[in-house]
Amino acid sequence: MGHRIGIITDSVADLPAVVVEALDVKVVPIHLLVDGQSYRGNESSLDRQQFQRSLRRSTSPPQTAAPSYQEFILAYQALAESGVEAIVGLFVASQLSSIFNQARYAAELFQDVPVRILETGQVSMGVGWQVVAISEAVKRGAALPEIEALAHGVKRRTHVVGVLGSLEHLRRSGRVGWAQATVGDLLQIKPVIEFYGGEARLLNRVRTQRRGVTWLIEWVRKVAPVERLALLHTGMEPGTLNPIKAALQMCVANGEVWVVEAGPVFLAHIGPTGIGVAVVCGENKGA
Amino acid sequence: MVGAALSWLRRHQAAINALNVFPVPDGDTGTNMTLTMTSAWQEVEPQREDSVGKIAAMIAHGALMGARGNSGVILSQIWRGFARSLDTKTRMDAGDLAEAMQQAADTAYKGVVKPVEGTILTVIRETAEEAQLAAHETQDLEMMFERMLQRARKAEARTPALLPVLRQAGVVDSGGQGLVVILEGMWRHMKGMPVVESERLAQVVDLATAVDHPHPDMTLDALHFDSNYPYDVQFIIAGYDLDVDAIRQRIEAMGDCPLVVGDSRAVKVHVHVSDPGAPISFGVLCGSLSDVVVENMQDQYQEFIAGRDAHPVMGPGIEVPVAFVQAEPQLIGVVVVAAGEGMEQVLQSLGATVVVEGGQTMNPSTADILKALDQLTTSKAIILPNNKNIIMAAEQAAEMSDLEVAVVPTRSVPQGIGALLALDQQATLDGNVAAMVRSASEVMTGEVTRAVRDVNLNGITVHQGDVIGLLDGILVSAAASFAAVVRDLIGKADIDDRELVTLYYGEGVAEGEAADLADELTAAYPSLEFEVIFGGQPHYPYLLSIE
Repeated sequence: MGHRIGIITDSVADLPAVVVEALDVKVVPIHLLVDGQSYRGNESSLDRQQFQRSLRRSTSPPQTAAPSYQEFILAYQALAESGVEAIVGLFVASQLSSIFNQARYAAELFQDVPVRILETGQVSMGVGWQVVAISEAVKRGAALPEIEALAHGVKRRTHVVGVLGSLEHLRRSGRVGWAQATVGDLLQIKPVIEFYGGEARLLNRVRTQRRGVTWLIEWVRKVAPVERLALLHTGMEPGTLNPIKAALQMCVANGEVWVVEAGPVFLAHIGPTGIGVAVVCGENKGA
Repeated sequence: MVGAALSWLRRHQAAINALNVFPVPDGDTGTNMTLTMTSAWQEVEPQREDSVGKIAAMIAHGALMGARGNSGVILSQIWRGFARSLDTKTRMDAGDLAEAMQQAADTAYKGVVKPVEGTILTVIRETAEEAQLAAHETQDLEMMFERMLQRARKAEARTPALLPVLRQAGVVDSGGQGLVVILEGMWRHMKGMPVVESERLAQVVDLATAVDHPHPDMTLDALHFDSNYPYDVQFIIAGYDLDVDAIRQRIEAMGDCPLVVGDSRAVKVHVHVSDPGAPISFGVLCGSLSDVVVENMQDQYQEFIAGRDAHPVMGPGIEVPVAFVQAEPQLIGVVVVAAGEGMEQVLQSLGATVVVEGGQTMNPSTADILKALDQLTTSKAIILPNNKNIIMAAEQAAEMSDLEVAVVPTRSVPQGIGALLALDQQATLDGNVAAMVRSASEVMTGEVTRAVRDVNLNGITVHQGDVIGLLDGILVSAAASFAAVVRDLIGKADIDDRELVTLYYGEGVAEGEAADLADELTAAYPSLEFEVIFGGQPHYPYLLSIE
């Protein structure tokens, strides 16, 4: 039997497939075009590798295609038919993508059950953690007003911080004003970017990945202990990831670190290489 | 008296410059002290003032504004202490002089974070001690001055005994010697002895025909010079049986545009060379030198160009990155010191607001840095001196500025670049300084240059003209070619934790040459990434940033 409230998100949330299945969350795929080749946002890791390779080679910026509002209506329809009494939608930040507006427009048109589209202000597992928190509340049997209040609280405590290979893709994505305003770097510079409240902010600039990772771990230590933490990466070896994971584990209240590979849509905007964290800070700590 | 000190100092400038411990083209102490004293003299010369307190105050102000290099800054502090002691006095007696000398020494010591003995500090301290002793025994200022000078000379001679690095290099401290020369000039003036160059020599040599070196009022074409020979060296050799032809032969072999004229008693030498030390050393062997002038034509050339065309027009298609355009308003202005067109562009692209031209061979003065601070539109500023010999002038400028200014004591341009990366316009000045100091400390700097004299340091024997390599300021390599030294530097650096090596190629290195070297190194060190960037810096064919 279905839950009383259905949850819908997009593939930018980067939720691992096993989690999607366990939480019974509906994921709307987002289409990607790189040099004329189409990729779906939630495909297997084999496709991801292929996608990353083509992203590295590609000279033109990848195109993302947000689903049309009809696709959202169909998705709501499917959920309603499975027996939910209300739907909560959590998507990538409205400032960064048109997905939110398409979903909201579809929600206004959809009459069968009430649909609440909540602003996450986030990307990747920053959206993912909010989906996880809401679905846990749904399982507990929480009602819609309680869920909306909870979502608002979690959103305020969710940060995504990452070291990108370069600023180039973010600049070309045209979604971050200040990045567009920069000129090309003369030196190899790896920007440390924070996503929070729908905005991308430059926290630091480093020259090597190692310095970036050190900085990242220190950043997490400053906001520790955190409630939830995901280590986001772009197809790195366990040998590289394990020591970082171990360092981060001490910063999480329950010692649990999810290792999540960033999905193609996110990569299309931040570039093929990078490493980061998505954290939900403790109740009393804002970052 | 100050004018006499300056003339005497000018006369010995080259000799003091030759006392560098490191065989690198260094921030020349003689030049820095002379420029500092010149600024002091310019302040006091046009005034008709006989109050000793007021004169001292003017000298102190002039020295402060013109202070260049660490030796210049310490010299300006000596004058500051001296002037403060005399203050409202109109005349000075033996007791006043002793007291002023004591204050001068105290102020100089206070200005240095970690005072080191065997330097100019030792010389001023001992001279002040002698002044105290002498004041008890005599009221005659001339006699007192003579004793002070003798003691200063002794202190200077003892500097190698106090400072191992001087002993190893076989030289006395250059700043200490500069101070002795200043005292000597004053004393000669008191005794009525000449301090200007001998007019007898100038009459022997027809200077009108001898002077053909580039002069700022000549045409642009006349200013073009061979950048392989950037130094214009002139001097007069005095002797008894000089062989003009033999001297000419030797000088002609050293460089470009040689001119050797004169007779058996005096010879005027003029030549363009890569190393000004070579003709001077040779001249000393022939007789006694006077009228020594060493000029960096490259600097003159650039100044000339800058003065003539302040807004160079860029050709079409040349993309010049202007600045890191911040979305956030600029709250903190950043003043950096650097030399080289490429370096300037890199620094500006990372958020430097004003680049003050300067570096190892030309230390900007306190006033130069203050001028840069004045250009800022922000209320807070950070200075990146990028050279250990500029840190004190930067600190002095920071103290004098109306802005809230912090100095991040970076010792190389790569360190400065590291610091700049951590700049956060949203953070406090203190927060920025902490982050920038740390970021700078994570950068290992490699420098490749030519030795300006023979030396044996750290077990490495260097001959003048050899290519040498320094890692974080320590001499670690000497070899025949630039590329060989770069290879050696990376071989000697602790690269276990390092990922990225940036090769900033400077004057005298072609882009292709640097790229080939990087390719070769990439093959040799698979764990490192090599980046080749145009720096255009003078005197350092390669600067390495190992991160």
